[in-house]
Amino acid sequence: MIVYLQMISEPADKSKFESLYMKYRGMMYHVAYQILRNEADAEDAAHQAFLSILKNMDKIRQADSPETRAYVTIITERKAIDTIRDRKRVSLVEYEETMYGIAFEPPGDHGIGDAIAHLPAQYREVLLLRHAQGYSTREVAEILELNYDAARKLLYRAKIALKDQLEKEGMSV
Amino acid sequence: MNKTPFSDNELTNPAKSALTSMMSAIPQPEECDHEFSSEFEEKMQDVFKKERRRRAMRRASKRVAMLLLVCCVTAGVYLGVNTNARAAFFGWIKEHYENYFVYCFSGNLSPAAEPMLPKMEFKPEWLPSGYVWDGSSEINGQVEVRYENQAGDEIIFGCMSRPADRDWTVESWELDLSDMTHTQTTVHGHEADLFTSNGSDGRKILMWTAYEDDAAFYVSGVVEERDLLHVAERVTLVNADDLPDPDGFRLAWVPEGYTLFDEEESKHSSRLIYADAQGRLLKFTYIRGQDETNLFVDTTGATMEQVRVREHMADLILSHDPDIASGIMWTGLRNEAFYISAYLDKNDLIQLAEAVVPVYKPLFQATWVPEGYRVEEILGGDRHCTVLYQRDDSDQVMSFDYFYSHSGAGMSVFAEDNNYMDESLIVNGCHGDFYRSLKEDEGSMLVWFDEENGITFSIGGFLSREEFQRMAGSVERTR
Repeated sequence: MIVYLQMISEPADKSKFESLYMKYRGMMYHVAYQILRNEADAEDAAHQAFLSILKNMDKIRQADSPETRAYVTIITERKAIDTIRDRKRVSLVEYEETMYGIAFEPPGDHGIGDAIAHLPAQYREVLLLRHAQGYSTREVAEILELNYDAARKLLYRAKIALKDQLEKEGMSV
Repeated sequence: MNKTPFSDNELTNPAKSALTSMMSAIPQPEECDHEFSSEFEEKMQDVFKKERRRRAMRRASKRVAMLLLVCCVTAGVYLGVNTNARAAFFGWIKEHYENYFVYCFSGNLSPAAEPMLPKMEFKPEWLPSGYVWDGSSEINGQVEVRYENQAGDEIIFGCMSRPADRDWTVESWELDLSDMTHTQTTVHGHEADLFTSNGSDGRKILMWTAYEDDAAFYVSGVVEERDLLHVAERVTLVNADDLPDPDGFRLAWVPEGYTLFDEEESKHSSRLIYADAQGRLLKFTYIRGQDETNLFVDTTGATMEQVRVREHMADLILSHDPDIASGIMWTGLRNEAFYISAYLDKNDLIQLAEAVVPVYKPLFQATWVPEGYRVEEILGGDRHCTVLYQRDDSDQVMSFDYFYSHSGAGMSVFAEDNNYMDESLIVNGCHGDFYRSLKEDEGSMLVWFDEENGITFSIGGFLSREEFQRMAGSVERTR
């Protein structure tokens, strides 16, 4: 095979992606199945999530880390919700604002943490990527396959939704 | 600018708590066992195969700097190991070691041979009272203008425009940011980084990018944050005469659900038409700056409003009739007129307008490509560009790549398992090498060197020797 030196898959990346694949594929299926309740759809969502992760390998420093596990989970949840949306053929806004994705107990701080946990998945995901995982808005855009302005707008909407959620829970902002 | 109710600092810890809670509901990877279907496994094998190559190709445009290191480090090693394999061209040295062929440029280029990057000139139209111009400098495309008041306080305005690599970072400026606190703000809606000294001097540095990332700026000084922001917001493009004419414009973003439906092209105008699942149309029209062309928009029953689209003022025409689309129109730097009509609200129309980006031809282009191949993606800029082609009836890809070199820079070719034949030949009057794969399912490569101008060209793909040569022979400079 004749290729550029830089076209050769670099050993570091190759082993990182393969490690990710081997380590998280079962967990990704589990996350997707929890949302989709269908084996084929869950595999499809896991496959889509891998494609997305592969596009953003530079965002992953180490395959085996809590940050990467969380990252992989968020991407899989997103792809599972995308799968539902594609199946239902409903508009993004109308549907996504009612999708809550992974079921989990809020942290119990009776404040912003609980409110984030109660947000629809699309808002929770973008806030977690930006503020818990520490990705820049530009990186969040790349991860969610949005353009920069769309990601910025989504973050803004997420913060407004968070403010509304806090007010709904009787907390002042 | 929208003001949100939470600062980044307020959200960090609660977001981390929420993430911890979420992850505690997910079993550990070791606990999740699932036997995947053979379809899934096959798809993933395809992913491994295709994405590895594609991803590596995507990176090609960003790797010249890294290759510089590769060549500088390895050349000495090769010299010691395999000097017989050395072949020197004018300015080029080719090394051969096991499966690697390394090309390093060692000649001196005259400045005239380098492509002239079109520049954009900016200046702040407002400064705090008492500041006057004190001097300016330009090093490696980085312009710095100093302003000083009678007390000797300085404001420095820095600007870089149209770089080869638009992957801006705060480190691009090489400023000392130690012992400074970082916060985020915006300048005309563009995300900006503000650094404030933790010492008593109160020095601040504000950095941001604009013009679709074509330009990056910073302003620093011992001034109030409000004044620094005001300086930044009044930075104005004062000269763009040497901007190349774009070959067209496209929308870098369309709302979810819209896909390209039709394209219309006439002598002076172009139109891209998108449609959503309900058949609602989104039309993007641009008219090149021509005296005899007019754009008529019926505004009967609509509300007119002036809004800002990046650096331009635009007319927003908001329809009150759900059956009539709203629109937005504005003019560009070269008197192009743009008009977008769609069944969207004000914010989406502005976002669409801001997603309009120019399309340029690469500086060099192959005017002939084998039948069935179409351009899939163009990466890089004038100094280094990779054009990726995809064949219509298969997943085969082909690449045409060129880059301007400087002393010490180079490229490498890797030939795996000795399943190849290499041959020296003359391409377009230049020295070149043809690496032909002996395996049907693996691509070959032609590399040649414009030694006078210091440009390396290459074509990689599944082509015959004749097709490689014909395509190479058709490469022309476009401007």
